[in-house]
Amino acid sequence: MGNALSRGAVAFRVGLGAALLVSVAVPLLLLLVWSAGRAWFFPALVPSDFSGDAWALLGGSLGRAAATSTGIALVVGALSGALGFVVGRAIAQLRGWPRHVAAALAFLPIAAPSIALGTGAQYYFLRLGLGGSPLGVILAHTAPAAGLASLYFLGVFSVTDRRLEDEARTLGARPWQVLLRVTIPAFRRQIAEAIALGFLVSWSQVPLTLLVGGGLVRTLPLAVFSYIRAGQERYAAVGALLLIVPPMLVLGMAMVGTRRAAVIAA
Amino acid sequence: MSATEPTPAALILDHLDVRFGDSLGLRDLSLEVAPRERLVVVGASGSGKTSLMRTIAGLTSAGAGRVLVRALDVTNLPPERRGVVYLHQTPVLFPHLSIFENVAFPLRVRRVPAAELRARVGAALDAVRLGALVQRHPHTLSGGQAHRVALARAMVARPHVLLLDEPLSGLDPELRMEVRGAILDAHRDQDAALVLVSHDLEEAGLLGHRVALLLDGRIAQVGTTQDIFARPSSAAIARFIGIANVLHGNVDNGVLQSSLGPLPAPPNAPQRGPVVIAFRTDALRLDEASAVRARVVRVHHGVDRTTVRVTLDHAEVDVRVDALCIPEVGDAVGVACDPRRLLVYADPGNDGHA
Repeated sequence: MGNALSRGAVAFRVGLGAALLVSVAVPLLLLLVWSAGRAWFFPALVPSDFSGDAWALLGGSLGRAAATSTGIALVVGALSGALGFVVGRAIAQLRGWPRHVAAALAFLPIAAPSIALGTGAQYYFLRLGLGGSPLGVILAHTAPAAGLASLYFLGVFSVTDRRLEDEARTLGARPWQVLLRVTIPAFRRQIAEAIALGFLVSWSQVPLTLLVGGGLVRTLPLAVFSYIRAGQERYAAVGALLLIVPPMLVLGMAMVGTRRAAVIAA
Repeated sequence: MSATEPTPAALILDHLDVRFGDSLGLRDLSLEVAPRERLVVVGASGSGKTSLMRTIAGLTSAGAGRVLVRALDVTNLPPERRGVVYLHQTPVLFPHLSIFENVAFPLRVRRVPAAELRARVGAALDAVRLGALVQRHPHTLSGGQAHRVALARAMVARPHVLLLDEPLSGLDPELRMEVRGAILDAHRDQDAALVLVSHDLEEAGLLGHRVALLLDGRIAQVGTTQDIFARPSSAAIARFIGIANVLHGNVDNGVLQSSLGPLPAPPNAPQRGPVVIAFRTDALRLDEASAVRARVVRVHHGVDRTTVRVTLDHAEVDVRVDALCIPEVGDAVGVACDPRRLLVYADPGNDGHA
């Protein structure tokens, strides 16, 4: 039978699956133990005492940092999704060298190290009065996120043609009606994915937040970073667990979306 | 409009130039299509048929000339204000909308009241026999159903001109018949002019009242398929419609000289000078009494006819033969011709001294 796998292939797949599971589950488990463990000293395999008091920080500084991060990441996701949609679509319509140059320019904010980007942005943002403000951090995060979204939409629009929109126009729709009634709804899954991508880029951003926010905008990654530096592993573990939640959610949503798309395609 | 005024043409192309990308592809096209008429634009693949459709629809700008829809110059109007609906070769349905909403789309964008919208969408779907599928989504439809939904959506918009780009191309024979029927059904009782493109003349004959042939970037001939098959207006058109036998000759004093021997020049022939002679396989017959001698080089057995290829001087032509009397390759045969069945054109590429 064509689908039959050899015993070796099955063993390899099971082994690979187990390795993936361990590589994800073990660090998560360690973080969980760490977040609840008290008095955990080498060479003890488990903490000698457990307490949930580190989780109380969710109602305090960690919660505030998470809320700041969520707010900033949501705005960055929305902004970068919108910008990426427009820019990616425009690049996809170019032909020849202008297309390559435009794609390279969109790639630049992703390829450039965040530290370099942040150092450059910091100077101008300070002059514009945006240094140390959430707005400055949002704009700084939007640069790489929008670059990524542009390349994502370039891929999307390179493999889709404009027949949907052309036909909508001849059926009587004005350009804005085509955008609202056809393009955005038809690409809603891709738009949601781009927004999620922008959200995640912002959510885990450290160098840009540090350089542009100047320590005044305290996001969740910065809070975790400062707890680690202060030796507060339990608080850092709680923060790190919080950091994992959005990527897991996005991954789950992407899997559901892909499965639904596969059902429709079938 | 008063009762005495004639209804304006649904579509007029007035010396229209059509671009292919950056270059000029079709030149100086002039054409008129009446309301309710079905016109099929026929041309070879790559001849610019789709570019012409897109230019009429306003999706590509014209190089020069004008497009008029019901006497209104729409050359510089956006697609949504032309009264022209353009359907692509494969049905393009909005994947996020139900069948009902797909068909309702042209009415929604025009803000048609809900009751009227429901009535018109229902009637359009009933006309294409899809009234039961209103809640389904496009991905659940068969190919034929998708075509019918696209047609219903186009007709509900009540366009003056409906453009269909190779609607039957790439379909299996059964689906081809279904879609052809759906097109004719959808167009019945509609005032819209239907302009279709095709590369298949027989299909054009089945769908259109008239055919416009695109050749070498121009409209070469307009007429019924019967006209075009009976009297192609040039040797190039004769070749395009599949008349494979072409010889060169000369006309002088009412006599046509060629590899077929001296023949009385047919009435359609030029008075004198070099000519191109095109003819179908049934214009010749094998006749042992004929002085025109030829040698059989190939025998082709078709489903409903047998032809032999013979050499005449340096030319080769196909002759239809009786299935009961088929010569063999290498046989010497006599060839007789019915001159009334020859299509004779002046040969601009030959000055008579070649």
